[in-house]
Amino acid sequence: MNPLASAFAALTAALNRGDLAAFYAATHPRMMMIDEDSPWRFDLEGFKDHIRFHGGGVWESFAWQPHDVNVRVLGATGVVAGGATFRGKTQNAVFRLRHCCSRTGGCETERDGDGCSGIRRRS
Amino acid sequence: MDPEAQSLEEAFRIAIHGWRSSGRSADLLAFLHDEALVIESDTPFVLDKTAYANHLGFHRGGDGTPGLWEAIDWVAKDVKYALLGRTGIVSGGFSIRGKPRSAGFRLRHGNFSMLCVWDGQQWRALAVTLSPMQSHVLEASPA
Repeated sequence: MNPLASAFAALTAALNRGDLAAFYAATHPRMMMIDEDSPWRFDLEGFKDHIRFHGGGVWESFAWQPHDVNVRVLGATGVVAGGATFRGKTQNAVFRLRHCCSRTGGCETERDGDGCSGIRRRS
Repeated sequence: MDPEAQSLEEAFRIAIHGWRSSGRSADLLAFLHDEALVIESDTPFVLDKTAYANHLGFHRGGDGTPGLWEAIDWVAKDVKYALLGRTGIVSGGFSIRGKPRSAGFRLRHGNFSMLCVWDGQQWRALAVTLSPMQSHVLEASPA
């Protein structure tokens, strides 16, 4: 598997098992995130704060499922773009299902395959 | 601002002017790398450069076909530039304001991001994402 595709798969797996340490370890400190929950861009600290809210026991079950993923790599720069589905069940409330296009940028650093620009877009 | 960041800003400014009715689509398409992937606010799919050029052509006309807009502007706001080696990230807010022929105004706001790569001579976008505010969560979730 392409190293960037592997890094993206590892990032997805870390998110889905709730391993935030592994997720953030693959995220560049200067990352920028556009998240459909917010009308403003997140930096890493802003995104961590948002995830802390979601990680506080408000979900019974949650998964992020990428599909039809395209990978492009040019030198040290790479992009992973495709569709994605969020599926989840919140505590004491009904299911959540959200489909979107998603894009993650990667840049190879001393730690290979760090994510440096995250984009999620609901469509 | 260091020269590379300045050149990224210049490349971005030239490219986005291509989205305006006073600009040239060719400038925007030249900024897009041939391998570029585009998430555009008009479509629910990822577009490659060929598909994006086709979509842009639908709006802008050309080859003897008139454009569909009397006027259109793409305005960037609160733009930030980040450089990580030969990787550049341009992000910000955007407003699209326009007037189609024989129809009312169009106004669309959102966030954008461009992942750019320095090819040794110029900056080019490997990925462009437009995330319109309509696609963000703006209301309470169902109980």
